[in-house]
Amino acid sequence: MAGIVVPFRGLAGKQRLTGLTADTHRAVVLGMLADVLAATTKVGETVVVTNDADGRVLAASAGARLVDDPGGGQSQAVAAALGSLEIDTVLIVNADVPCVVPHDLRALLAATPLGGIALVASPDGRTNALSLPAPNLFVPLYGPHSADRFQHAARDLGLEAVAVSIPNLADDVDTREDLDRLQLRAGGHTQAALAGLRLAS
Amino acid sequence: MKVAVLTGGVGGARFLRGIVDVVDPASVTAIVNVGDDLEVLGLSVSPDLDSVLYALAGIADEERGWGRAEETWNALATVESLGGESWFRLGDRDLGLHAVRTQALRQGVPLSAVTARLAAALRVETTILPATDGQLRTWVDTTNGSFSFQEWFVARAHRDPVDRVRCEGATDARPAPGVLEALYETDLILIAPSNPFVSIGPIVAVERIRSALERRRVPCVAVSPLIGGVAVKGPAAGMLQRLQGGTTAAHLANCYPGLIDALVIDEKDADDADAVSNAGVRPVITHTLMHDAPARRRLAEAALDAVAFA
Repeated sequence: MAGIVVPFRGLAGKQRLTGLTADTHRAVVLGMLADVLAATTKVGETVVVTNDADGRVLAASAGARLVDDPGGGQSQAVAAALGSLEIDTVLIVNADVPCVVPHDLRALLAATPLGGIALVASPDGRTNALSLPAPNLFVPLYGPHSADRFQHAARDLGLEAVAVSIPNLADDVDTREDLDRLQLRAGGHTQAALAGLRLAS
Repeated sequence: MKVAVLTGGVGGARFLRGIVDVVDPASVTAIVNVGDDLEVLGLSVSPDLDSVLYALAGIADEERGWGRAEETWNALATVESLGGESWFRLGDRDLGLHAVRTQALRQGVPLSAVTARLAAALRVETTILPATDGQLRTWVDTTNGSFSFQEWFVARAHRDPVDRVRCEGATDARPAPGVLEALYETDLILIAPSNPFVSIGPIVAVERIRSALERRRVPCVAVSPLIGGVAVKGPAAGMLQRLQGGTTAAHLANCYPGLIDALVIDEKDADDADAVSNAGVRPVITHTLMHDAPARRRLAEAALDAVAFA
């Protein structure tokens, strides 16, 4: 069984998701987390790294373990969670991919080269999901162009690195346009949050 | 977990075998197309029900894809030598089942009850239901005229281009006992990799089945019968081209408007994922060819994993 780390920054992580009321913004961000956790908890032991109070409640009810976010960004958050995992294979999955289903995560695991890394890039070249053969192989490279940088770093270590095309993991929600585009495909929790949005507006 | 599977014959039957390898067979209900049913030599034949029955009983002929394993053909040879109707290939063992079914139907036993009896006799734990006990027959209107499904499919080798598929009797057909219950009480609805027009179409042409699907409170996941835009078996690709204007996974998704939440597509069709997404359906990419038992199981797992239950 794989260990799965889901960093969740709460509303602070989704500042580009504009044009929503504060309540809806929060409901959508939490809905996406719920959809991601519904998938990850079916595939492996899930650890949510967060300081967000609602995120903690949601993660606990989804059956995930909690780790405090030490602050300093996604790389630091992930590193904190990895230290708590004893499992070898690790997936790191962002909390803003509401279309993900368990099969997508299994497909990423299956595509991971033996002893190497695999990742799914977002359309803008960041990293939405990362598969590592061991927690200690993580290097803190999140940010712009991280998909390329993770692969280069792995190859520098002599590891095979592959970028995998898995649509439900590639499609992340950064903006209102992303949300509009993906709403029909998103998981039930995100759709429910959006239904609330439609009723309210 | 309870699973309801809408299915046609060969491909669907194979898929069901994978499903019952992964989940408790007794928690699975197969809702099967009966639009292809016909009378041959005075016997009532239900090709899709029988494919499912034989597959789940483990007595199907895997190579041929239809009928029973270790089949012999003495009766058919006799029929032929006597100048009888021999276009529809019924084997000796197969004939035995049709004789039993026909007798029961003539005594007024509904098809669903006969099917349950046959399944029990073959020790099949999965519930196998005809979509309806009523008269529902599939007709294909082609450039060369209108034919009953089996006449077009078997006798004419599905060569005539299809302009339209009609499900005669569908408006009056009521779901067979147990069908709606299975759809309302399930945790997941699956649509097998069967032909959307002539296998799944007649099932969802039954008004109350369609509305149960439209109002579902659980996810519905379809599995594409296409690999690289081509059907593994049968006329699905040709029909998609003619009736939907193309053979991509998105054209397939459009066959099930409002009915499916996710579509499992083959790796060779991965380029269609965006178009499937645009149809509001979540694409799930995997290896879909069911060439052996492990492959069947993997496809079943992918379909069961195509939604994340809350």
